[in-house]
Amino acid sequence: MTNERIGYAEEDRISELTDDVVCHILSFLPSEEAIATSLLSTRWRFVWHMVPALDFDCMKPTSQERVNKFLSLRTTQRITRLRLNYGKYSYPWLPDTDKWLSAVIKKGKVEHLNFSLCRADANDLPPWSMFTSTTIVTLNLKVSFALVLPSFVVHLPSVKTLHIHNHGCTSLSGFKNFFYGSPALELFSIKTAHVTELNIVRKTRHIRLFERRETRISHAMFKLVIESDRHNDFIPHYFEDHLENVVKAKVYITVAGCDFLCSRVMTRLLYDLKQLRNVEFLSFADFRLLDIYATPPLPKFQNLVQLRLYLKDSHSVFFKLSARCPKLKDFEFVIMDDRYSGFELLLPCY
Amino acid sequence: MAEETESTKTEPLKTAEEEFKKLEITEEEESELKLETSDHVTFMVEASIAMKFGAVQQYLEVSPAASASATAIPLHNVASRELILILEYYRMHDWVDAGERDLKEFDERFLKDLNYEELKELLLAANYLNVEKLFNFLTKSIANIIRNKDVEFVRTFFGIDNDYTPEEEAAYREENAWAGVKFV
Repeated sequence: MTNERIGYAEEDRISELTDDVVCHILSFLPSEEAIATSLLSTRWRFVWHMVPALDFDCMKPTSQERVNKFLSLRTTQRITRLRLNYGKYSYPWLPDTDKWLSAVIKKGKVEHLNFSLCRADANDLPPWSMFTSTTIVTLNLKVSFALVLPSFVVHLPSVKTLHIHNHGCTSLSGFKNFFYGSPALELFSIKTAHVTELNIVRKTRHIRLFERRETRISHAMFKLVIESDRHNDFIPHYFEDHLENVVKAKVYITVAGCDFLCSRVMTRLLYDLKQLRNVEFLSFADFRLLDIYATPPLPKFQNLVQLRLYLKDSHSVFFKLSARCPKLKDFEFVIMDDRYSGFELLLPCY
Repeated sequence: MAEETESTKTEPLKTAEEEFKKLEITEEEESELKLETSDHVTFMVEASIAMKFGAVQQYLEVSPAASASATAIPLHNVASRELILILEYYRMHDWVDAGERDLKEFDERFLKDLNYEELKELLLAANYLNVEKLFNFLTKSIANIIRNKDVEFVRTFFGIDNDYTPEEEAAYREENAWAGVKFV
């Protein structure tokens, strides 16, 4: 950024903005809108040639020609922002897309990549180059097919934010290579067919995982939060499905909605409780409307010191959870009265 | 600290105390820098925030003595009105306890309180100061304002005089037709 601004002219302030600043503004816009600024005045005629962004919807057979023409007219190779939207509908993948896209990511030194793609052929991957870039800081990926990448494919040393929106049926462990391949990752956010929402935040001091699952048919909701210090990183255990290794962490589980026979939520709940049996802190809230289960096999919580129970009524099958914690020191128990939405009925520890 | 007299201190306690002492020292050391705006108002700014300003860094590289002395670092192209806003933004974003939602709400409010002129003034100041985060936030916000707007709106927003002849304008519309640009 250069600055030679002297004095305080009250009018035409934008003329004091350098081309760099103007290009930075335009880099947030779709490329066609950046091109449209050439009509503003003579000064603006060629500004778009230097905008460090490539931002196109590519949902027509002619789209690629537009992108090619755009690339050929530009006077800079720098592309900080790259957004390509191949649309909601499957569209035949052009054979040379991998090639030019790799070139753009490499030569343009792309930092922010936003890519959405829907393809019929589930065996194909998005261009590999986007998983091995040293420059990408933000990666936003929307794909409709199963996204399982071998571990050697993902190497994103600069990535801090990773959003994956996956309509396909990728299991969570399918994403673990993204996690291992991105050591600088601060926010990892996943949406899939199975998990409504998964957010992992890794700050300098703490780590927080937020998982939400919803089933549309029974309107049941399952929410899991795990928090720990940075040096007790539990995320690898999460991806390897070995949550039984997690001890020094706070776990918050909430279930709500109408839960009918053999609901997936209930199954998941019992599974997660079993997996998380070694934690020291557990907050468990059960607000489901229906509960026609016999007492499920509750695991023994060997290390549990603190337990918070929020139950809809005392008939809840999780009422006996406290009896499964031999080391329990701090117990808080609340029964929710269904006439109230809050925690009005507070029972003392027993 | 009363516990210091006790001889039966356990190891973890000691380290905790040391940590505490270290914290105290760093708090004392949290120095301030004197900044002077173009309208000759001086500000005492936490060094941790002032050092985020590229212009301040650059100034201190050239004359390192300024950080210790009482001389103010001059910011020739930033008025006090803008510096107050910039400091408000950075103090909020530097605040350890600020959650993502707090920051989002803050950003929205911050933007709502600015009219177009103030927004552009602030962008010029942010550009001069070389403050990356605020610069990105402002440029992105301006992009959102001009998004999907017609040519006239963008000209007015930026204060641009159209110096094209009608023939030229028609020719350039034609020239860029390949991009599928929606010209209004």
